[in-house]
Amino acid sequence: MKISTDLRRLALRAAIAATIASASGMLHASNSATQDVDITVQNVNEISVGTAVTLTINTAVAGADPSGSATSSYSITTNSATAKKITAQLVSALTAGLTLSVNLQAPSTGTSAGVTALSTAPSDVVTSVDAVAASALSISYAATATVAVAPNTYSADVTYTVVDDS
Amino acid sequence: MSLCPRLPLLAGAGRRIACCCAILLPAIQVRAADVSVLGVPWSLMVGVAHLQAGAGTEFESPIVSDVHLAFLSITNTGGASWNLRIARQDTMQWPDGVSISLRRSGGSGEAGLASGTSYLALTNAPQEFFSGTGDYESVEILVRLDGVTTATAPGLHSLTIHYSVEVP
Repeated sequence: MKISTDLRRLALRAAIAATIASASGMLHASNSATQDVDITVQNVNEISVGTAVTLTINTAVAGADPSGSATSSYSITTNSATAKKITAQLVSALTAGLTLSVNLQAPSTGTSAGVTALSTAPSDVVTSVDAVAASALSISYAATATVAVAPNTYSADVTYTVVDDS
Repeated sequence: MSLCPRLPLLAGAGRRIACCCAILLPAIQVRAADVSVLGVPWSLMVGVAHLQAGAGTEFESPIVSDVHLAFLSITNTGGASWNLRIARQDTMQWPDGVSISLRRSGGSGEAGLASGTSYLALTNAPQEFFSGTGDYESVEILVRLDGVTTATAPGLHSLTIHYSVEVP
């Protein structure tokens, strides 16, 4: 009978298909699980400078104010995705007649502003600093004193700050 | 007496084949296994504390190593041998050069397991991590993070670790 034959063929094909599918599953039987991992990289903008320096103002050219110089160093690490700059400023005003200037070596990704006279307002000393880690970069200090400044020891604190270069 | 009373429409060779299939199928289905992660999503903050020596230096590499990530449970193996594979799927832009590596701790509860005690860096393609036979309730997984530098953009970086167990 035709109906019976068709049903037999259908059942046979289904059984073979089930066997193949099951055999396939046997070879690749697996189960899985997942775990999420989140890494947050924080903004890092670190700068440090060397130990205190002493400038002795004991040289003078006839007709010019006496002057002195000293060197130090600084290190910087920034991972900023946008450019940064370094500013420098005096914590408090210098005694009248004294001047202090700095010249910072730029890291590989920045640009030095060259010799910059310091005041109590922030001055850009290095600009366009991209992500970098650099150490032992030079700082050159230069000071002058007019003849009106009494011989003595004077202290000055300089603050260096890494800020956005906008 | 028919061994396959539920297949009355089949006869001859077709009936014999189908009958064998019906007998084999339950035995085949036993050969599966489950893997589950006993642990929460893992997170890490990388910051100033991870610099090698403060300003002027790079981030440490590795940032962390041999830190507990999770416990894995491999069950329902029916005593069969299995392979555990791992892969990663980046759900956000994963930074170039940064890698997550896993290893198992090799603790006392892992006797009989093969491979997996050396760090294996996750890739998008599944890799065999370790293998064993039978059920294991608590395989400790440790993580190492390498390659974070100042060139790595600050922000959140995420990926998903896929563990899969296969019964050959």
